[in-house]
Amino acid sequence: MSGASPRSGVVAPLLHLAVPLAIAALYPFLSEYHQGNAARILVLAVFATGYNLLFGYTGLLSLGHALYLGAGLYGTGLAVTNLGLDPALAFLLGTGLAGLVSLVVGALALRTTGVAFMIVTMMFAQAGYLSILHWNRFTRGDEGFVIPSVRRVAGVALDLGDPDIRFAVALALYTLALGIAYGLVRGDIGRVWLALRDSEERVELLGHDPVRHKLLAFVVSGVMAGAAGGAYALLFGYVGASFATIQYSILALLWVLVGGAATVLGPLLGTALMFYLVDVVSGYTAAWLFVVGAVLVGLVLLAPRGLLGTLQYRYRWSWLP
Amino acid sequence: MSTTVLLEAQELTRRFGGLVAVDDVSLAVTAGEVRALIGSNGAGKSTLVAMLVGRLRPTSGRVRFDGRDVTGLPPARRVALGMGYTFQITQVFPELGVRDNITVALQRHVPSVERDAAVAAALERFGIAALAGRRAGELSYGHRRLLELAMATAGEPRLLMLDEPTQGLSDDEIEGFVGVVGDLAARTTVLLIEHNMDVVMALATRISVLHEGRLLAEGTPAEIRANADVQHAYLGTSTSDDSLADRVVAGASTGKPGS
Repeated sequence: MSGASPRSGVVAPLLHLAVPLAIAALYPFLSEYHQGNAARILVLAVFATGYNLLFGYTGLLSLGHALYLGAGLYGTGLAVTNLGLDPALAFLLGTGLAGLVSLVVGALALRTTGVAFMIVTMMFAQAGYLSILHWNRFTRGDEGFVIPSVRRVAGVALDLGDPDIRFAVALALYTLALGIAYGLVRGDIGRVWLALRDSEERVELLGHDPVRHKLLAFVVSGVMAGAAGGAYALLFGYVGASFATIQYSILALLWVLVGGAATVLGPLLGTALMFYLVDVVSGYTAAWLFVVGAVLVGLVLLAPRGLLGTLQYRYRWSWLP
Repeated sequence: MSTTVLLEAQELTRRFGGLVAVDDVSLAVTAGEVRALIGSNGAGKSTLVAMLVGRLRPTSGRVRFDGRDVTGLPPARRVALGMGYTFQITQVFPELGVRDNITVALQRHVPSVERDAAVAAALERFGIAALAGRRAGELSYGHRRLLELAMATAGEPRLLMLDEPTQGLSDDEIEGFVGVVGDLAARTTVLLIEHNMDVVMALATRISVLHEGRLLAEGTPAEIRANADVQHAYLGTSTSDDSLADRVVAGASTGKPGS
């Protein structure tokens, strides 16, 4: 992230390319159960990867990103079931809707900073959640709805309900998000984002417009959240209001913190670890939220930079973006 | 020296509630000069400069830069037009590396293929090349000052505004700093807000004196030294201002920094 020397420019891209390839190579050896989990984790990691651009790199703590996850989820799901659109088209529509909502909310919320920003983003997300419940004639409210498998065939014959295709699509989407995140944070925009996290005033007095850069981070993270939501609806065939609750806003934050804020691969690592932690713990107790809380507290105390962030800081892996 | 006016303040006033921090100040900085802005604490120096660079909106009055009215422009736009600025309290990006700090400052001005060379040149110019691999937060205060100066000048500004740049530096560091700013002055116009009269006398070609928000006097260092109003204003207020007045006279006689 900092002071990378020009010569270290080969290791980082190779590592980031190797991760999706390794996941693909590992897939055939996984049990059916873990194969399904892998697809789910990859989709949720897209959500976390986008959130990391806003929170980790730009330093803006949103507590309302479930809104864009929900916008993508419902935008895509309703377009498939109610409008009868092709899944690919519906996905673009849902993702675009999330982008539009994040543009509007971002433009308003970025007029505030700090705690006020957290509260404003959260209130918009709550308004979104309550709207989903209110319009339950279309959304089926809390209960949600299932997208029948015949509706989840994209194009001529791409059956998104098929486990292998589901995994392949999830991996492709994650790889795309990873590539976009990597390109952005390694480029001029990412450098300004990181600088904004340290001092907005200094950034402005170097000739960069802070609001435009912050809004871009907000919208990119909103689009990625929307893409994750849309993909979830199509790949797993379920659309429900629980994805728009504040719990998912907090989970994105948690996944990023666990893996390492402001590291490109951190969100995937954090998502996978927390997914399996919850999976294992909920086999023993219903109080899995307690465990999530305990992890968050332990993390803040012991490794506030998260797993990859701690490695990057302690061992001066400045080549790791 | 050319007589083109680069920066012009026209009847600038800034009120904070009932307090008039800057009161009807007009000022013209000519291209190529090193203009010092002096005055006791609370005289309105920082408020004035904050309006010049765009961090504060004036209550009334205009700011012109290079013949263009920039009163309504935000700081980023003014910087794009050729202003550079360093903060009274040093602000660098502590989590970024030294190289990235400078790259952020010049990436708008320098095409990517020439950046490595431009960053290296900036590091060299300010004598911080050995620190290139460090995180900015790990640098000493003096080195952070130099880094901030390297950042403020990375875009080759035509006007460099330094808000109390020697505050918090040791005598040795001040001496080095004066040398660096002296070199910069050959390439750019400088507006220097400074308490240290030795530094002012060593660098300034003209001095403007602010007192209680108003422009009290303006002239060459010799004229300011001889100005009875300036001496009276400083001698007439608090003890710390006595010492400032003493140093106006003492600094003028040696003309050396850090003495």
